[in-house]
Amino acid sequence: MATAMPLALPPAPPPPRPRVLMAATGLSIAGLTMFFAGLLGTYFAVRASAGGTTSAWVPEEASLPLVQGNMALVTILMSAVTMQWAVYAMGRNDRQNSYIALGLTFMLGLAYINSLAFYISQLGIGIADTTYGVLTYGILGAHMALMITALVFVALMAFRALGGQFSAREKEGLAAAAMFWHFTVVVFIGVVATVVWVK
Amino acid sequence: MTMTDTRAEAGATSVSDGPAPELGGLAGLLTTVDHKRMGRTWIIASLVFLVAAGVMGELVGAERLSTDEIDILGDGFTQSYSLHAVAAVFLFLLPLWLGLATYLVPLQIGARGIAFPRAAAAGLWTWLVASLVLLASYLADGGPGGGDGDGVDLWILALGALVVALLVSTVSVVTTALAMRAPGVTLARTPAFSWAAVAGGVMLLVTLPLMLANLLLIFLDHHYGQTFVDDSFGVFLPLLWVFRQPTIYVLALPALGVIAEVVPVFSRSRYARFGLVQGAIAAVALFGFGAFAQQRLTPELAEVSEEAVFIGLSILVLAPLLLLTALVGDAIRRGDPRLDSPLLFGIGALLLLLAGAAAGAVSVIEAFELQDTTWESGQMHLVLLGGGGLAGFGALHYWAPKLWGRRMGEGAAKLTFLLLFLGVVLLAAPDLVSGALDQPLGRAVFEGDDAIEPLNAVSAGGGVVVVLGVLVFLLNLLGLRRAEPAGDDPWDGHTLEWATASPPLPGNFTGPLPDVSSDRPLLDQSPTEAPA
Repeated sequence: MATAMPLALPPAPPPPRPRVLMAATGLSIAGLTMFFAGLLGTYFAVRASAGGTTSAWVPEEASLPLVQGNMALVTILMSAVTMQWAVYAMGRNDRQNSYIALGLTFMLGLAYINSLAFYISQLGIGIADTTYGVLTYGILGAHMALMITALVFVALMAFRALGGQFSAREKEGLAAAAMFWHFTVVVFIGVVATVVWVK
Repeated sequence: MTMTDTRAEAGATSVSDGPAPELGGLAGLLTTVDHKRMGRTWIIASLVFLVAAGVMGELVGAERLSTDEIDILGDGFTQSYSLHAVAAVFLFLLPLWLGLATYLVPLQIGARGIAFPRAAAAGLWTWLVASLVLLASYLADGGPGGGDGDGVDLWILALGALVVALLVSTVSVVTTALAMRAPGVTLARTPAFSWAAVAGGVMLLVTLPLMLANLLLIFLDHHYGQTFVDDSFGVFLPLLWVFRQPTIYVLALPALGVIAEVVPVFSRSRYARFGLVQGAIAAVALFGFGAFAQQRLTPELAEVSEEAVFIGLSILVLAPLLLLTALVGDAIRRGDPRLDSPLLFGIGALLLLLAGAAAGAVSVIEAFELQDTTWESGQMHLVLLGGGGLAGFGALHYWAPKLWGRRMGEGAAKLTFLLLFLGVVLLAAPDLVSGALDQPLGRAVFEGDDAIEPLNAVSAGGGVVVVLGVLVFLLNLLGLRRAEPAGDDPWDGHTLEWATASPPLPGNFTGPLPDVSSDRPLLDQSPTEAPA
């Protein structure tokens, strides 16, 4: 009589994870999208009521250098690549590459802030001079604040990664930080298009 | 697995919701991460601030008693009007909803705590401090009509901080409902109040940031040069859209959740189609999206009230409200209603909300020329105070056993309902009539029909009746100390919050949760009931 082979069931699926951080990040992004939509929408509405053309809207003394604005954009676009690299590497349990990518992302974020600060210093107008100044400083300053928030988020998740809290199976925090970071990048594309390109 | 299908028990390690021991007294209150203590603090603070809103409302009423100038604060109406509006919405109504949601949503969905409890606590205390600073800014000759530039700046900053705090707490509540539901509690089975909290919360998250953007630009302009906003009342003008339709429907949305929650319990029935109830609430939320209606940032911008979207939404919002009314009526008809105070509050709130929505629909008909008249004030009072306020007080009566472990006095509760309902009608109806007679909104001095003065007197009298109703409520609330313990489920409730102690212990649920196979799990367990 043949010996019955013990029957082994496949391992139970992992318990469904609560994607609490992802949900909260998504909701925050929805709110921030509306915040920037409000700022940019106001910019265009007031611009239209002031004549609708760059010459009628932008004060003569204002200097709007394309190079610095585009440099800030390129910097932040590169940071989106490194951020996704960090998530991808963590998804493969490649911690070393993930740490390197997070470090690069953080540095590119700081470089972006430096670049944007330089751009603002070149504007050549004060906040109070014109309605244009109020809106331009408001939009650029708000985005800088958004980037600082994103940097804090990434830094917190980087510390958690360094503490070994993330792995290929559990990387929700990193994915949420990446989602927020990419949102920051997308918003800046809108900001550049409005303030630097269209004016 | 989608985000909305996630389950609560798996998140126990990532969310600090366990029954950690907490300090007692003031230190415990200040450091608490227990959603129940936070919820009660929101509620009590909002009721205290209601006094400020009520006093300012009475001042507004008094300043309109004569068509000659009565300027009690010496500010040309701006201070009392703006403080009344801001306090009513941002210091009373929204915080009351957030307090109820912070307390009840985790209980209703079977969660052991709230998502991001420290963020929720930060939101609560930031709101409280910002609210006090906002009130103080008026005393420092600030506020939108203030003469002191720094005081006006302080008012703008305080309002901005207050809005941020409300948003942070809203994210916490909505995340809890989306990602921490117990097994069996799908979105389709989420109780009506929690559903309304989600729908209203999401709409607030896409609406209030627009107000924040306005505040940022107003602050930059006012602080640095005033090229944009040219006088101090101009500081308030760009924010007026928040207090008008369609946004007011979002501000009052949790009222629909309260109404939909209490009707089946006190009718001892269930909805024929709960999905339609959820759909109606979601549709009101959708039609209440008013972030596009910022018509006053500069005088040159077009009047949104003449645009098709604005007109369409203002009329469309009536449809889901009528659907909800039909569903509520059907549940009452098929049940065996008992006229306890929560049901009275619920029905009264629904009627006033409907009246407000009907008034809103009429106001967009251009031929009537009702925009910018006190017709809008009457509509706002019907929707926010009649719908939102009445339902809010109804919610406090209904959930008082869960909040404080005791039932409020039923006689006083019915007296409160009577005074508030009559008061709102007396407050709002004369404004609708005087609006039709062209009394302008937001100004105390005007030339108009002789009938307007007595109408304004009746409206002010309605305000006094509302204040009396609130006083009876507060006395009833204070009387809770002497009331007998209510027991865990004094109303024979249908939803999960009634399956635990009153008030719940840390961790919310000590034993296993009942099986959830419908939107009314406790009713399903009743021997005489079966799921519909």
